[in-house]
Amino acid sequence: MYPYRFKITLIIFILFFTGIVVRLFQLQIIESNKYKGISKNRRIATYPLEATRGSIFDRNGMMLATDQHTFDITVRYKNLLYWYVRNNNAVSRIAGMKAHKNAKKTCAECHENQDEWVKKLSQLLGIPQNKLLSHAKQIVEKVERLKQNVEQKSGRATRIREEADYYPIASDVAWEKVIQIEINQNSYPGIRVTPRPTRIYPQRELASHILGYMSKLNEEEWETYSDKWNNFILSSNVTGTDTTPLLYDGYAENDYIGRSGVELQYENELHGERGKRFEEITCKNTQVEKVILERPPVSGNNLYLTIDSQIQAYAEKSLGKNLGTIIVMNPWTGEILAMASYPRFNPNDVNEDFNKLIKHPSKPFLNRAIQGALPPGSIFKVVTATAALSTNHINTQTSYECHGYTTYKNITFKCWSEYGHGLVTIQDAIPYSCNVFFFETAKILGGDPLYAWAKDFGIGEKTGIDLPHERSGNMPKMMNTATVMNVAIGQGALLTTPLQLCRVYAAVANGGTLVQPHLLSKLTDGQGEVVRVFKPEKKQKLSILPATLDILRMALQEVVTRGTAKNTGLEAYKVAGKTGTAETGRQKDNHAWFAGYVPYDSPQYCFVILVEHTPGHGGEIAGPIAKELMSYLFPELNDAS
Amino acid sequence: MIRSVSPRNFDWVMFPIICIILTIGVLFVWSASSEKFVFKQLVWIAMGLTLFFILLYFDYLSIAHYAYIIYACVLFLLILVLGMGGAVKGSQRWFSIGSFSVQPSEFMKITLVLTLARFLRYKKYGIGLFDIGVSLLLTFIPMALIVKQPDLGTALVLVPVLLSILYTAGIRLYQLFMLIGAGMAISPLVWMFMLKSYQKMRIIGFLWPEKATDWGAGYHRLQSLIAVGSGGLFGTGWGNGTQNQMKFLPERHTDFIFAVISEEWGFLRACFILFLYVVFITCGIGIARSTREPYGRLVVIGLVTMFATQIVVNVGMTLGVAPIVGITLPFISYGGSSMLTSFIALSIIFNIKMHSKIDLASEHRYETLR
Repeated sequence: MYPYRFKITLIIFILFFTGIVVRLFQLQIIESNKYKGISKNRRIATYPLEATRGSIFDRNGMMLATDQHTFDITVRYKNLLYWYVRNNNAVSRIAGMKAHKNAKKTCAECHENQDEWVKKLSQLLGIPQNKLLSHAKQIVEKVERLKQNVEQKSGRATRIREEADYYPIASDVAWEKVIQIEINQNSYPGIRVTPRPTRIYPQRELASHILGYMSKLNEEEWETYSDKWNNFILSSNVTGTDTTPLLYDGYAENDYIGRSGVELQYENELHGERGKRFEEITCKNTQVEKVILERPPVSGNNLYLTIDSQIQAYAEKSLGKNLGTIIVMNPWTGEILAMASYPRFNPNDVNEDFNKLIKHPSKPFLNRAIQGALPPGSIFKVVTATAALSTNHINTQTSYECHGYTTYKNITFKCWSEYGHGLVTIQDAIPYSCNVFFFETAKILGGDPLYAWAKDFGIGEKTGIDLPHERSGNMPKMMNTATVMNVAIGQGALLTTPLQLCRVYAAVANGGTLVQPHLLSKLTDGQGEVVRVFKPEKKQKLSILPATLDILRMALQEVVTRGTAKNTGLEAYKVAGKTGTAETGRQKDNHAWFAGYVPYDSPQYCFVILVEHTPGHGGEIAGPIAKELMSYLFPELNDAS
Repeated sequence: MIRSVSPRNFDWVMFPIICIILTIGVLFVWSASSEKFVFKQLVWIAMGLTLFFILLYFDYLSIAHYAYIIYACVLFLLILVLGMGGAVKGSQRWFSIGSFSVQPSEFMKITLVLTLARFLRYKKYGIGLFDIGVSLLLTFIPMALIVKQPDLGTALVLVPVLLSILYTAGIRLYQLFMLIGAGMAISPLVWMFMLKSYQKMRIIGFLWPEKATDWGAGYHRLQSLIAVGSGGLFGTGWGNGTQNQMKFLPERHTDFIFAVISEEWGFLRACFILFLYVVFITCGIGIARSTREPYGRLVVIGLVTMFATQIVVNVGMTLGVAPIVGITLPFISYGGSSMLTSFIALSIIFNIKMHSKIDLASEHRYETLR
């Protein structure tokens, strides 16, 4: 072959290396002074440019949460340092600085007028000096510690970046005062006004559980966030060519972060990306020579929810001061139209009232619609009935005699009516909520079909709604007939969330499809372009026969006309539903339920009402609430009732 | 018959050089980052050395049999990583098996060398257009996938590797020039259809710095130049670099580690490291020359080209004379994948050297078998 080609290859390589050495010589020997100068005198100061967090709207474009710009007063580090030195006389490096030695003055003399700004500022803002500078000591000590560490490592005096930064001393400053500072920049040396977005919720308590709230990152969290961020950069460094994210900051120390509700769920979408400005500063005076680099902030996406604030307000009004929840959902799509939970909180004031709220015995932060797992009581009978009808264990002709109780292995199971309901079929058992019928059904049905059907209906599983901290409830595995009988009427170890039950009734209303409850309607970017719309992940068709559904629907209508919820006035609104009274085991302490859909001929809304820990029965307590809700939803039908 | 390895043929020039380079690398990873990374780097080096000695035991010719299969597997992994790879900084290069992340594009460099060598090893009597076409295809399929990841640097390394293997395998000069000409002719197409906008920005920024809009790259380049320039003749001393310690320099312990070395050690010692690399490459080419078995020869030349390209481009980008494309400095930069790949490549080179002087009979047997 061609042995000389090896030589040529080697020569080419060596030529390249020679080129590199020549370039190295040029940079390090010929132009060295130029670069040495740069690296000594040049300091880069960076300022974050705050990104606006995305707003949250309801389905009609009504604003539920938004960022409002407020103003912080920040102070140059040097100002704080001088103040600190005057008041503590402790920082040796200042006292020992060459300039001081040459001037033969003490530090305090040298910077006599340096504290003017504190007086002026405290006069202007009406805040006492002590309060204004309450954090100054911490800041100075922190930076000085950092500086010492860096100097120890490098072994000589070094200026660190933190020294060129500005630190906040007052927040939420009124606009007029901000203007004063901006106009008289010269009399406020080293003071800077920094706009900072604050989250406000214009509708106050409305839908507070859905929206959630925001609070400051605590130190520990911030460390993990910033650590994650550093690792993110480092791990990509291994091959990194894409430098873009390097220059963005993730979260900063005083950032707010969504803590619950959609503020937490869609944190990444809403958050946006903080921009950054690099400024080149000469060392001699602090005059900004030129802006070299600026990366504009990227504002977060706007979030449109499926919530209808009108219906939400109705629901909250109807619920009143009852401990509990109301869910209104579109039975065909799973769009949550309203999700009220009481007690509520005001997300605007959460951070002031946090300790009070978190210790409150009725747990205002709990979103009872998805985080309360309770026995469903008679509401669950729909599932039992579906299981029994679908597996042909009973049919419309099956009837049982109700004497007010039934027995199994010497255990007495009571019906809620001590006189009994007489001979009942499924058509009567649901309207009158006869327990005995379902006890007998449970005996022949057995545990496995009931378990399987309950699981099909999504009982005991998270619905996957786009809210954090959803609970799954509990669907017990039933080993013996006695437990099956208890679970069949919604008692025992069975625990469900109101949202799961809402889904069950939606399935009955829409013809047997288990919908995906959701709150996200769409996400749009700053320009209003749609970034993402909700796409249902799971929407499963249950294998319920139309005949079974007809039986159930007819029975649910009759609950209102002649059953446990008659005389509540719900008939006029064409409500189909089921009452439930779940026993907690204590006397006069029940959970009152009412679940259903309306109107029964073409379902438009599907709803669940829950009032916790109430002495009354489902129909008595939840019935009037449902009536009130309906009167708001269908005002045109009010006269008919 | 398994051909035995003779320790007498172990390269006692290259190995100490690599040891010195590794030591310097650890020192500067330490200076540029923290003890945590030094420890990790030491673990990677230990793993790399172990792998190096294990691979020496096998006969490199057995790889030749599996070259195409390995190629297909790595290609499959590349496609897979495009589809499902974890997004690190918006690019898909990794995928994780447990806590271990694999980066197929790194392994593609070696695999391509093995495959091209296998394809071209017996073309003694000249390389035809068909052979060139197949070689191009073998190179450009993975290259396109790697560019799509996007990992411009690794993709660019493949081109010199292809050229050097073709050159050594006996391509005619006019063919070579036609190939280069054709490459230049189609580059506008690559520009238009393959590159992402930020990659274009990066190249524009390198060719015409004043037009650069991607200031991220401009920032890197500037900081790197300041670091190198302020090093001077003797440097600022280990651990004393302003640019390094004050974290002005981005990607200090990986892609831009040579800037740290230049700043803290100065011109003379930076040249010493470059000299070590030159000796290393000279030795490598020496091995290729003295190997009479054609497969080994082509593999060695390919791997040496891979090392040389990485060194030249990496150092070039710290000195502002090559576009910033994210290539690591072999045996110095921090990083597991790059360290392991370098050790595997080194092991193959040593393997070939240790087998090259054993017996010509078996070489003959392999040649006639085909």
